[in-house]
Amino acid sequence: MSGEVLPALLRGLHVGATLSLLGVLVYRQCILPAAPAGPDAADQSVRWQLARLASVSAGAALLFGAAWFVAVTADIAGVSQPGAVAGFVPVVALHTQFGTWLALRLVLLLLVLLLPAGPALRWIALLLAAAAVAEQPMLAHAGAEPGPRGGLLIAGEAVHVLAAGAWFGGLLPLWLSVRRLPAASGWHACRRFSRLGMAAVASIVAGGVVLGALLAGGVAGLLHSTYGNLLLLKTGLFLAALGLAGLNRYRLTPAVQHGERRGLLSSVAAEAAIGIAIVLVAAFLASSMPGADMQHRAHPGMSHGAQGGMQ
Amino acid sequence: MAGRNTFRPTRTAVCLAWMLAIAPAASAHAFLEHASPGVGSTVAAPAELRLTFTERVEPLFSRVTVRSPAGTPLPAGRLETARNGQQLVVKLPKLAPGTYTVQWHVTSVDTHKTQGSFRFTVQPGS
Repeated sequence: MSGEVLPALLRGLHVGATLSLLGVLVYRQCILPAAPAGPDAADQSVRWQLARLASVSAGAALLFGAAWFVAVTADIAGVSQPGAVAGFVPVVALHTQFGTWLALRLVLLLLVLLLPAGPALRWIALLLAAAAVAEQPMLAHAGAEPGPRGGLLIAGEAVHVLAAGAWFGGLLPLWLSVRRLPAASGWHACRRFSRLGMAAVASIVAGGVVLGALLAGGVAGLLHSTYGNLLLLKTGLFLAALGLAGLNRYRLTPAVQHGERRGLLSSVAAEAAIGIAIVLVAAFLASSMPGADMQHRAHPGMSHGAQGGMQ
Repeated sequence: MAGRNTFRPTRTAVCLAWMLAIAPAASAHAFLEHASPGVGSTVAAPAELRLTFTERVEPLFSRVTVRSPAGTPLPAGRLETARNGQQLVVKLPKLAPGTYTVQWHVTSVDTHKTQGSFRFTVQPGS
């Protein structure tokens, strides 16, 4: 696999798992209907699966995050031998912005994974996961920009990824609820998730507009750079997911009340698949040179092949 | 109710659009913004070289080489940073007249790599 593709892929898998963790925890605290008074096998099954999904997401985020850390370390240090890479890991962790913030995120994820089960600690787990997601700008283009523009980019990206986690990360829990819970409870969960989804869409769009306006490089950047082309692809995928969300809300959710779940289950699964595709496209987007940077390549003192590393 | 503080989405959207419209495009890779001695300039022997980039860079994973008119790398001092990490500073030995080549490779804090080179000329009395 190309030395440029692997870090971007690991980044996408790590971020996707981290967003999934946040979405599951948000869903469990804010969307899942209250447990019935008596013993209920379906309710207990969904709760157990959500707990397992949270653990798997946190574990995958840790694993892929550590692999991403190592891949980036090897790239920026210019070494490939395992021993040499290992020697640079503490240097990168302690003395670079990327390494410090990614190490902090891995610690947060580990804490979520190790927190004892129990209702009292669920909000703490949610806050830790939200903090892990919110630091995403410091691992991307936004965190490198100095001054007020940097502040605007960091705020825009933090809102963007938190909302994306709440929406896309909650789709699999929603699918499980609709499939396992009684129709009335499934319908109730859909209605609550729909309200969360609308707030998430508004936040994603607001954050995305900020990032796009400052990084895309205008129409020329959108049309004539890899970054711009990926951004257009991501926007197209987002609109497709939005279309499915509208279909779910206005056509398929009402049918759940009458016991017809198959349509909604298929649609939510498709929406989740689009969400995964969006996260992967975003990972390559974060690894490519924004259209706004193209003008700088012609500056005096720049090499013609000024490289945009793919981390 | 008089004095009620209500959220106005249209006004908020217009304000956000205006802020974005006046904000210059951001840079997401470290590009050379300014050099002292300047790119292609003729100067009296400088005591140091200052390279200012469009974003913050990681000094531990950046490199600046200054080559003499004969192409020999000059003994390099420690790479220091200034301006909140956006500027790299290299102390120079006493430079004889001639044209020097500066080659730089930097890693920005978001781990992207860029590189470039330029020349400046040392001429007494400039």
